[in-house]
Amino acid sequence: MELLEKLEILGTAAKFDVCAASSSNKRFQGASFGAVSPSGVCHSFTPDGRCISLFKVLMTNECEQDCGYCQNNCYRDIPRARFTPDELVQLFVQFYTRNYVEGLFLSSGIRASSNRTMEDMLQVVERLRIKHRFGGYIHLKILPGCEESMIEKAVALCNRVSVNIEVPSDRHMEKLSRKKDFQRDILGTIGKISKQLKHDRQVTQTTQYVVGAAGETDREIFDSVSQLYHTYNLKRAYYSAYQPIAHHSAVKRDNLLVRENRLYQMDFLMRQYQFRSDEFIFEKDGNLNYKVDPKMAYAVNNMHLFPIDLQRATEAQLLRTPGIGPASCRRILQIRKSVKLTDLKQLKHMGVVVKRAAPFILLNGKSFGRLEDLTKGERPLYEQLTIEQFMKETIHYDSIP
Amino acid sequence: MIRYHNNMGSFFKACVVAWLLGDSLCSEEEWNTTLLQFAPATDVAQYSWEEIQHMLRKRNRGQWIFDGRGSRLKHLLLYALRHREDKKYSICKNAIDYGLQHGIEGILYKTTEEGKELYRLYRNVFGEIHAMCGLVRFVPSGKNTLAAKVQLEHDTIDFLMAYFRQRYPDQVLILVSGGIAYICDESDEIYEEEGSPFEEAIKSDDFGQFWEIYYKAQYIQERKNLRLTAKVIRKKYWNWLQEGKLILEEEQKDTRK
Repeated sequence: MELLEKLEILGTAAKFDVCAASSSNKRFQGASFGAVSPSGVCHSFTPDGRCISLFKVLMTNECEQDCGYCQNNCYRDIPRARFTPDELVQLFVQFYTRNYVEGLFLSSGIRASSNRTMEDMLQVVERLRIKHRFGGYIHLKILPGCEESMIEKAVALCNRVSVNIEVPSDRHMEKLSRKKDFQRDILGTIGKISKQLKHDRQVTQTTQYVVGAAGETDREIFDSVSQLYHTYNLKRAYYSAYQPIAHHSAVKRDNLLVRENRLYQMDFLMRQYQFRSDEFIFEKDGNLNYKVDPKMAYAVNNMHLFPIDLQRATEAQLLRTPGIGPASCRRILQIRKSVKLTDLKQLKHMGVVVKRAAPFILLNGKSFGRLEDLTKGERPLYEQLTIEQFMKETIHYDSIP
Repeated sequence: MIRYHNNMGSFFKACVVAWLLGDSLCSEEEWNTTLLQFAPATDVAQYSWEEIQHMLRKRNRGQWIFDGRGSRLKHLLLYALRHREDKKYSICKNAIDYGLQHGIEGILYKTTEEGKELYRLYRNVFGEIHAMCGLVRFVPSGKNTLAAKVQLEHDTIDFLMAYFRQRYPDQVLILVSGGIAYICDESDEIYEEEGSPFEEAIKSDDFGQFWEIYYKAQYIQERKNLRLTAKVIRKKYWNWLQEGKLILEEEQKDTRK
């Protein structure tokens, strides 16, 4: 098979994996080529708006597993291909030298056994690091159930390692695969990686969920990911909306992209906004509200905590206000020491999304927006209301305990 | 008149001194090439920072220059002064003057028009560097040599060289812009040569087919979102990039519908 054909098959097979390319890991200094960057660089964007930063391919799409969510599972009649370690190394070096990519993201189907496939993948990484003295970013997928010595080697050679957890529990995994053991193959491997990373804090671990393949709820994903963050010290989780495949279509496909987006928002609130688990609002069916983002849902359900006076609000209060992110929160905390905040324009320049924030804040004792302005899809009027008018128009007294 | 040299540090110092003395500014180049050379002008290098700090202390102003906030402003100026607009000097000077008069927060947190304008310049220049770091495509051109064509609006070639030098420490780097080849060799000095021979070498590379195949392979059609694509990769680069034609094809499919 031609190299171009392999590239097409194995590039397509990897496109649903999600990753980022930023790293502050400087341990491969003095390299012959390649460097890592803490902010990452995007090298292109596909017509779906997603960034291409890493050379994202599979070692092989031949796979013995029967996972129902996966495009490459053993039941599918699709063209199969396999790179040799040399082919992959040469191809990657060409891509990197020409500045098409920022690093390597290498995953694989399981051919013959996890250990055998991992050996091939590790050969690729080893050749890049040792023979080519590559100092850039490498993210390696660890195959479920592989030996601990391989994980140790991967941690020594890569910037990031990960195992895809895919679903929140073994109950869900049973629906999708008869061969994979969730506790042993997935959680067991995440645990082994976590143990290795205790010795090497420069390397990080991530994971990925496939959203909507096993009928799981957002609450179940939330519980699972919180546990991973706390127990296994995960850097972050990615979410990928399930892409239905031919023989496995018994899944509701509604709202999957919106749902993916809401899960990312929830994840960021957990990691960067210090939201506690009891602050997320789930619907009766265990899912997030798909009409509004989780932060807005929190604010609307806790109107007794708003509006907040920006001149006096604490960091936690600011971070819980819609339209204010960690960066604009830092700016507000800094600037209000020397300047009195009186104007929405000031907030806009500081990066606050004024339209969203207006109903929840007070500037100089005055409110500037109404909750219903948010749903109109137009610019708010910014009419100045007195506190009494604001309270009357925005607070739903029924929701106050 | 306070005369400054062609670098950010000198310009910044000159602005502070000019504000303290109520004087005007001129660049060394202006002073050498125009009638200004007949006017009395003091080289800003004659003032030390200790002296300036002492004068500022007396006026109880500008102590931010000597802490982290001053570094942040200098960072913004470093990029803003590379902008192609001629009025960049007056925008930068206004921002520094405002900072000295009213405090630097209004500039750093963009709550003033002066701050907003300064950030606009900074963003344009920084955005160009960031985009070029990702979108430039090198072609091996001789032994240990990489050449690429860049599309620049601002004076950013040395920033790009510094970035790529980290990425390819063992290579001679050549960036071609506007018919001139900027070459950075082992000495890390940048010198200029005629660009056309390198442009020919860049055109003749055929690795592009691998990139095209890979790029198409990564596209998830079900998620097509050209509005987002146009936001993250500015349309001015679509014709310049190899993959731009694929994005344009996708756009045309929408138009036909």
